[in-house]
Amino acid sequence: MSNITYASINDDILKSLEPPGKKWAASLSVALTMLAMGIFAFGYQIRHGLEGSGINNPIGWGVYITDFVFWVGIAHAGTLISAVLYLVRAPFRTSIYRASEAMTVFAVMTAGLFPLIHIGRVWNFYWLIPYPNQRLLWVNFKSPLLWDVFAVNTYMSVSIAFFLLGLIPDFASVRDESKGLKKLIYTIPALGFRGTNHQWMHYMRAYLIFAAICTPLVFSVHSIVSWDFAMGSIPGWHTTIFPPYFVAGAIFSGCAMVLTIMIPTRMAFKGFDQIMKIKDLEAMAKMIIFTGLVVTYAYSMEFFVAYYSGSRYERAIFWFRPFGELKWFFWGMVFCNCISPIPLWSKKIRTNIGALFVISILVNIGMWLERFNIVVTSLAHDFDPYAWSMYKFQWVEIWITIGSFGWFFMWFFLFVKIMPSLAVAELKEALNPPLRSAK
Amino acid sequence: MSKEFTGVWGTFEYLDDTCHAIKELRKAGYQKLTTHTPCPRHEIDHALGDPQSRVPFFSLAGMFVGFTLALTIMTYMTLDWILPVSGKPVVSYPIMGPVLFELSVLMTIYFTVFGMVGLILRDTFRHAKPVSKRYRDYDRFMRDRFGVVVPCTAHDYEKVEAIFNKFQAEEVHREA
Amino acid sequence: MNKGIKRRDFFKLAAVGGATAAAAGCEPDKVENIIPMLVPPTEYVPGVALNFATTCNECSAQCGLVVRTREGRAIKADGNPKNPLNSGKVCAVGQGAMQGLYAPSRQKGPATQKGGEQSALTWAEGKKLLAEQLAAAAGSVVYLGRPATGTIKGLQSALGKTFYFDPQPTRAIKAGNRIAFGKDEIPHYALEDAKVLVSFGADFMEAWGNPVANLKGYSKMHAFQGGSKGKYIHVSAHMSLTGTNADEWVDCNPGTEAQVALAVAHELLGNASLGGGDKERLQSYLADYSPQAVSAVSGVSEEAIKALAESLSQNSPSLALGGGTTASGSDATALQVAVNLLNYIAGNLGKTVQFGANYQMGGDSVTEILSAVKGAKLVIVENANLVYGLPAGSGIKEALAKVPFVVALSTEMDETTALAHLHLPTSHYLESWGDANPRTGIKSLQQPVMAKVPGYDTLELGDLLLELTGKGGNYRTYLQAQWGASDAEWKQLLQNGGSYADFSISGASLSGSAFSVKPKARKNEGLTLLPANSPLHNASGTTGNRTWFLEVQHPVTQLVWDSWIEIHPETGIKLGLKHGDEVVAKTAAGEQTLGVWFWYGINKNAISMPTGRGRTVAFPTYVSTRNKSILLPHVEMASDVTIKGIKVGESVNELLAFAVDDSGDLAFNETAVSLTKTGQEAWLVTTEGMARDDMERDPQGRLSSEIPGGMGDRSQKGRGFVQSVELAVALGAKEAHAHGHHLRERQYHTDLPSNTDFYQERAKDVEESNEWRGRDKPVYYEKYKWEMAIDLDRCIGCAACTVACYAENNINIVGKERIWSGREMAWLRVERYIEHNPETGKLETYYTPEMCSQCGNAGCEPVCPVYATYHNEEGLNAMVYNRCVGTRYCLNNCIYKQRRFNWRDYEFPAPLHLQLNPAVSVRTKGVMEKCNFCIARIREGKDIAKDQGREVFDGEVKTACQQTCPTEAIIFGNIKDQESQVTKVKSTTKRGYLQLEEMNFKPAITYLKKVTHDNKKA
Repeated sequence: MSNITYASINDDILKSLEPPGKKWAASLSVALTMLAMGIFAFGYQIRHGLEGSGINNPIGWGVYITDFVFWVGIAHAGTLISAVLYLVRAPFRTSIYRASEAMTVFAVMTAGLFPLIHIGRVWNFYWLIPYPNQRLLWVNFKSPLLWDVFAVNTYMSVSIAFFLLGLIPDFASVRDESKGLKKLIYTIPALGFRGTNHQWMHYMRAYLIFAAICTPLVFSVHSIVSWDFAMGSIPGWHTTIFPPYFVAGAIFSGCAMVLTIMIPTRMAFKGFDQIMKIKDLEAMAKMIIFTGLVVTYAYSMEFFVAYYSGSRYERAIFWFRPFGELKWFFWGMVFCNCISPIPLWSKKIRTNIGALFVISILVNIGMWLERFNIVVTSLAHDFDPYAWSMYKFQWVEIWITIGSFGWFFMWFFLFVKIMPSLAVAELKEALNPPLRSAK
Repeated sequence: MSKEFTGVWGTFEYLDDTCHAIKELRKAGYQKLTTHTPCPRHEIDHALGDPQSRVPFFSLAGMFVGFTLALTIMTYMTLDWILPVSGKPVVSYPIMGPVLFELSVLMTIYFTVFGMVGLILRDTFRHAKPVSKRYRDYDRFMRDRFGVVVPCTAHDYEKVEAIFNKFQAEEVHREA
Repeated sequence: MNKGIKRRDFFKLAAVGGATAAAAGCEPDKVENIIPMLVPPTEYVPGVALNFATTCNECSAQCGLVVRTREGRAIKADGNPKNPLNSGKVCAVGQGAMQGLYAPSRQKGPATQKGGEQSALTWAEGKKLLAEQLAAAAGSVVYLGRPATGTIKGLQSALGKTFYFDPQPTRAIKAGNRIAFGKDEIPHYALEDAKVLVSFGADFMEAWGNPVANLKGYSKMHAFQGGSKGKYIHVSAHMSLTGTNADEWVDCNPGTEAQVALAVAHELLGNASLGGGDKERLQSYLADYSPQAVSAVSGVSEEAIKALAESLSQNSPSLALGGGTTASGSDATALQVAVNLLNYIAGNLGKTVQFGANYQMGGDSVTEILSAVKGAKLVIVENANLVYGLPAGSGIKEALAKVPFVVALSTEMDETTALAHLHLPTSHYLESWGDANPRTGIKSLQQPVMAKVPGYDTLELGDLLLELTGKGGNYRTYLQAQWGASDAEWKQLLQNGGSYADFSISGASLSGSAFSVKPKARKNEGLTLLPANSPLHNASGTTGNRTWFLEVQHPVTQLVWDSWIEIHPETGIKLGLKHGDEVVAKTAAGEQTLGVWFWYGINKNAISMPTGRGRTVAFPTYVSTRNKSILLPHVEMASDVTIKGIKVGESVNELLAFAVDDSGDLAFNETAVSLTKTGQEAWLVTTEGMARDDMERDPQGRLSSEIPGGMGDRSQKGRGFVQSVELAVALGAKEAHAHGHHLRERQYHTDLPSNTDFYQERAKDVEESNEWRGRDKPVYYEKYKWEMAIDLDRCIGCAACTVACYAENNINIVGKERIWSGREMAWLRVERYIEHNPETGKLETYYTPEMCSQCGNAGCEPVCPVYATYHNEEGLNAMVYNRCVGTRYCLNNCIYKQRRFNWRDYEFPAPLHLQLNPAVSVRTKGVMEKCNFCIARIREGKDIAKDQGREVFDGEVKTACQQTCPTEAIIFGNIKDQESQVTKVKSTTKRGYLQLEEMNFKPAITYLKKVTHDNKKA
């Protein structure tokens, strides 16, 4: 890293903020088109009711809740990387955490939409918030869904705050590096930061506390999401293994998503590969291996417990998943989440960008399937055999899902152009400082 | 920064020079220093004698506030209009866990942010800084230069400059 | 009178102004006085239901009805408790009267018709035209009506030669009795007194005789009570709902019921003591019906026949019934004679077969009708749908085409009225005056329950006939005169719905003519087509265009919005078919494409098809996404939704060869049919779960998917929703099996606090919270806690409760595709399970009505984030539609899966929307709904009680399902009232169990186990 200096870091990273090229414009417009599809479908759903989605009588939750859990899961890696790895001073953190935090924020913003999208009367969504109202009606704090409202909102505000906090010094450097209008624009978010010792002192302490608080928050949020199911009474949901299992799954999918996003970013901007080194991605891959093992263990445990419980209903649902009408979702999940990460054990593949990218995509798909499995198969096969049912996908839910990706990537594309997608100050921190004695 | 500033500020290319300079200045009795660094460096903190931030106290306060808030609204709201659901007690404590935690976290974060901003502003006001355009437009502090600002009276200028130059400061400016 | 406004005018005002309705109780005459609408008299209270006693005309049994009206609109048909025929109960078809009254297919006004084109004219013109035609055709006028038994008959016959048309085979019963006992009547079959009931094909729970009356008797005889339980054996080639409720099904080849009956008689004769040389004559007559001989033809084993005879001789009095569509061939009379002989030998004459009742059921001889039509110059058709009801082979269509002038007085536009030259729509019978005489002693009145449905310019049949016959005047006064009742008496009669007296049993003896009749020998090669009725549809097809009867699943197959072919799995597999395959059914008369439904309850040489389907229904054209890409948008604009006529299923009559029994009944079970596979999969839609595969294996160790034929396993996978107990065990005479019936017993044995302790604890908790808050409300379970008990031993699965629920609670009709995608809205559904009996190795059918259990420890309540569902002071699981945001978490968390979500806004084709019950809000899209124990009725009952300063007494509040249940399987009431029936039942019964008790949801519904004879069932 000898050739990297404080100055060069500034130059490299701030290059990414130069006016966008055609490629960027093209990809943004693709994202916007997807978003438009989603908005259209959602509008149609508001107009006509939830008929356009495959949800049906016993299966009250389907693709929307699957998407919700999927995006919340994605959202976790970001904070986890930036917070936990910060606490443990993991060296590979600095190069990737800004982008993954951005990912977190946008993923939460996406996830936050789905509880609204999936409810029958979205125009009354605000009834979920405990605000003083003329009818003197309050919300039901006994409902896991309400815990969700609190968890997701807390998580969103915290991760946004954390994200922006980390950006302040970098905005400052952008301000100092730029002239004219741009300088003026960046002066505002920089909040007059000039790296004085007072600023740094309090800033660093606050940042440390943020990290310390975000760590349990990450775990709590996905545990609460998992309670939406674990608190339910139906077989396949009603299990104590869910919180850890969900958290592991979240990190799993999160790390995969980080790779899915960072690898193209890394290629898109030259100079990034100097900073975002293979070994950093490799570290991500290692996390994937580990969390992949955890979820695999969780899957097998579920089956064992179902067998060991002796409960006819539990056994039935865990028989149904691999062998029932919806078995392909299950086997797809097993392939993507348990099998596909295995190659990562070899350093060769771990360090091969292409392979990493493919596997990360597979894992993302796998995690979507996992959520679909949990949400849908359990509902499709619960207590009353008379009510057992199947899930038929419909266009509206598919378009809305596409739209959610459009929404997510729109934000990400905007982000890489208006914010330094790597943490300038922290990268400098990671360098050896310029020392006369070192010369 | 209403009050008139007199003093000297200089920039360094190297961190170790900066630290030595700071130590020397503090030995010479200049305590109210302001430094500029592109990124947080512990060397500087050590040189300045490891001052401690008070932000954590705000966080703690925030935690308590959040917790109490959650407890109150949940108890009040469930009792305000009694709607029993299934076998659960009207006021049931186990179910409060998640919301208690989340609100505590939320408040902690808000208090931390405001505490940080407040403390930074306080310190900034306590430590005088140059007002000259030269100082304000100097744009390499966030890039790769270290800066030290020493408030002092006119007859100390030579003394301070001497210390700066001793450690090969890039630039040294007087502010009057 | 002439200065006063007419009652129907008043009701017109009422209906239009919507401002009035009279206080509870039937006082229709009040409205004969002038009522200034500005200052309505005190007894008219808006929002209070007003009941009218009248008579049902949906079938020829003519039960008494009480119709609830609100703001001058009829909203619900219930049974008339005072009428001994149905004593307060009414079948599904009877409830359908509402959809007949508000049928979208009703003719709006008088019109002349030519080649499908209508040109409207005024009543004056219409009547003039008709009068001219009558004059012209004098002498050869034929009047074809729906069976009428009252005063109207006189007027009809004054108009022309009158025939009544009813495709249901009933004439054979009369003929049989005439031949066997010289009594040309339908006697009273006293099911209630029989210890053993043997039905030779008679679907007496569906369409044979008066189903409601039959079921009243049947439940008395068959339900477990007082330590006894009668036995019911069904001898038939097909198990319809009636068959599935039997304790034993004797499977005989199609059309051989008569032989089996005679064989049983042959066996029974041995130790029967008969006087007057009857025994000898019978011996010679029955000589060639020895069990050996008969079992060869009928496929019924000798043992079975002997066993039948045994149980008949052991238990006296017994009762044998015969008939029904699946057993009526061109020798239907012979079957009746055989059954009569059996009854005679078993000594049931005068005991369970009581002459003197003389039920006025059924229509006139089909042959006579046809010949009359052929000769007629003018044919008047009044609510008689011959073109639909008769097989094409009868040539009725051609005959009518030849008639110079055909006038339709029918209320609805149907297959027959479409052929008329002139259509003068008469008012629906619920808008008209009339009377009926269903049996000796019972004379019931039929009075208008509301003004004419707005927008339908019709005349009452009575008034019209009076005018045409030149008598003139008002039919109501004419009627009163005919009854010879003073105004006071008349009022009394109207309030009671008629006058009711018992009939005196007249003796009867065997007449020699009996021996002249013998059943035809039936050759059984190939498949025979059996048209089968159900409580939802019968041969007359009246329910074929009423959405309730298409939307509510067929009790046995659980199929909706379709007709299908029931076939025995073995036969199906032999033909290379799979369950759900599409086949072409071909007979001499025609061919139809249908789906096959594998059903163990049918003879291997027969297939069966539902009757009364294949009619056109008005239904909204919602967007369809079936078989369309899921990646492309399928958008429905508001303007896209129009009401369109859609044909539902196929009419079995188009397949039937035309044949008639000597008695003039249609022969139903003689058509040979062949099936050819189309290779397609049929689109059979069921409310039953689609995913049936499960780890559970049947006794042969096969998974559901491995069971040949592809029907899979429709059992409850040991979830214990329906549980049964052996009679001996129920009596305590015997210990239950250690293992129980592994598929029918609850697997867990729980030790949970009783529901009572549980809810008292809850009440205490609320009380404490009140103290904390310094308030005194709400108080839980203070006076009322509503609970229910459902006796599965009484429930026969007829789905009348479901229809009642649809009618009472404004439940949306969603249509075939939406049921297919799991969007049905039924709050109450009768689940049908087909269980393997590990002891006999046979399949058995069980029914259980499932609705919201109003759990005390409900799963749905705590998970709702907005309190849209909570537990109310009376133990009901309240559902607040207005607060619901539609997270559907409650649906997911309901272990009984009894919540329904509004996936869209549905439409009620006009004028069906007028039937909506104003007391129950119509739900909008995006909200959850479910059964609430008819909370509107509870509210009403409590209001009345409050006005009278008392508490609701037991039986005052009845849920719609309870009120209609013909077997009284549903018991509902206040558990806090120690005297209430539900409390008594719950505290005393030994058969009670809670579904999924181990889940500790504390359901308010206790189910009582089904009682079986030595663990066997059909």
